[in-house]
Amino acid sequence: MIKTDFYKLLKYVIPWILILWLSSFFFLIFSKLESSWLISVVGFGLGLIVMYVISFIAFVNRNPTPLSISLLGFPASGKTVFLTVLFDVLMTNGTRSNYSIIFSPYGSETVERVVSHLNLLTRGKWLPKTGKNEVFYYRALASMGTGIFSRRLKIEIGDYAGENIGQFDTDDERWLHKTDYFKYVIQSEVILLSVDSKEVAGKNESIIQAIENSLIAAIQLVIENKGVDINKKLKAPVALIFMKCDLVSVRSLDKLKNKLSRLINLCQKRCLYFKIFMTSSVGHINKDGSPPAKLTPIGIVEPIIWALQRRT
Amino acid sequence: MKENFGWIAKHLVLPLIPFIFGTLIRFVLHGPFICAIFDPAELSFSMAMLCFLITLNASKLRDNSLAEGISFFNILGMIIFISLFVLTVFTKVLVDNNMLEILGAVKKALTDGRTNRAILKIFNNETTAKYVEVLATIKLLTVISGIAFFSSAIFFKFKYKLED
Repeated sequence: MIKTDFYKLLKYVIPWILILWLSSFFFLIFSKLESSWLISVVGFGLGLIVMYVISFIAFVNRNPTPLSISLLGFPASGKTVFLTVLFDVLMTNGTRSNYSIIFSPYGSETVERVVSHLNLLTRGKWLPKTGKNEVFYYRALASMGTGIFSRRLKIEIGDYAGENIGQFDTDDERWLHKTDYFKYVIQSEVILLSVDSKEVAGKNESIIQAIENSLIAAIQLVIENKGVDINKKLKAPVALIFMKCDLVSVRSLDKLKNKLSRLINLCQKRCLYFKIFMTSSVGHINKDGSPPAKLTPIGIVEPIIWALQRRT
Repeated sequence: MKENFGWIAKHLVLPLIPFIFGTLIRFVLHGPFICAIFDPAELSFSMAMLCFLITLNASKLRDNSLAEGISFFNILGMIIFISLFVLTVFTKVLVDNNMLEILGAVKKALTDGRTNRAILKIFNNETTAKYVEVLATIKLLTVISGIAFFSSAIFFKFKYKLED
């Protein structure tokens, strides 16, 4: 509200100041006054520049550096639920003294979206599938460190439909129709690869291979498009997140890793920062397969905190 | 890296071409006299174009409030530079008119067979000196505003990752 009023004030006041400035100049030229008038005009001009600098600094303070995070994964891997619960945790548990990172949601759209999705989840309904042409950007402000060394970031995570991952797969028809999603992933500074633990733990090898191949292709394309030299590593942190870990036993982590060994090897070789996370957005599910009324997320914030710490 | 060069060429160098070429031509003709080779009209016109291109580019940002903020600063820049351009052109027209008046007066003085002292008096016109002073003031304001807006354009590019 204050921000809008400030802009409105500037928008309406500055043209009038300029008109005054121009008229004083014309008056000065026609009236052929002494040069002391000229000095006052220069002073007025410099005053405007000072005003510009002050409003510029205020603008920069309100708009910290954006950090785009891409979340890649196959359809129904749990990306939207992950983002909803993540932002709910960040909103409600904003201050994390262990990491000295403070979060706050940015923009009313994010809050509205998170609340409406949470209401669905707590009513025992899974979130609707993200449409193929649908996209929503979850935004939050993060402040890291304290005092004069603190750094502020505006985090942005795009929630795209899982089908879009086909844009990285040469066998998929979407390979030929690259959309904003492709550009978004290529330009993002943190890459989160999400896989459905249950799917990977399953016996359908063709699905596991398809997931692994798509993620390998995506990482290769990101490395190539970011211009990373053959003997250098990708600086953007890459996190491999095993979603829905409540559906598999803890002991099966090694098995899961083995099933995606090619992807993990590639990330370890070509990425400067790479880590594997086990998460569950809802904690456990009811017997009928619906989400519980009380969500107990597991390890959901850790990938973001880890990635942010690598970016500082 | 390639994208950054492309962006800088398109949004910073391209609009400044009239100013760069004008300055280069005057540099070749007059030598490295910083004050003489700068033309505030060229600089203000180029800077207005630069602000316009940055405003267009900012509209591509996904974050609407950020895009609005950047656009606001650059629209303000456009208003300032267009005003400076109008002022420069107006003052130059006045200077030219004044010069024509002086030349007319000199011609008349020569035809009338007046003394060199009288002709010199016509040249030492106070109005001309005033206009030159006004032009110098506009030049100063244009250069200061130009530096402020050019640096802010570079700042916006790297801080908010403006892309093509």
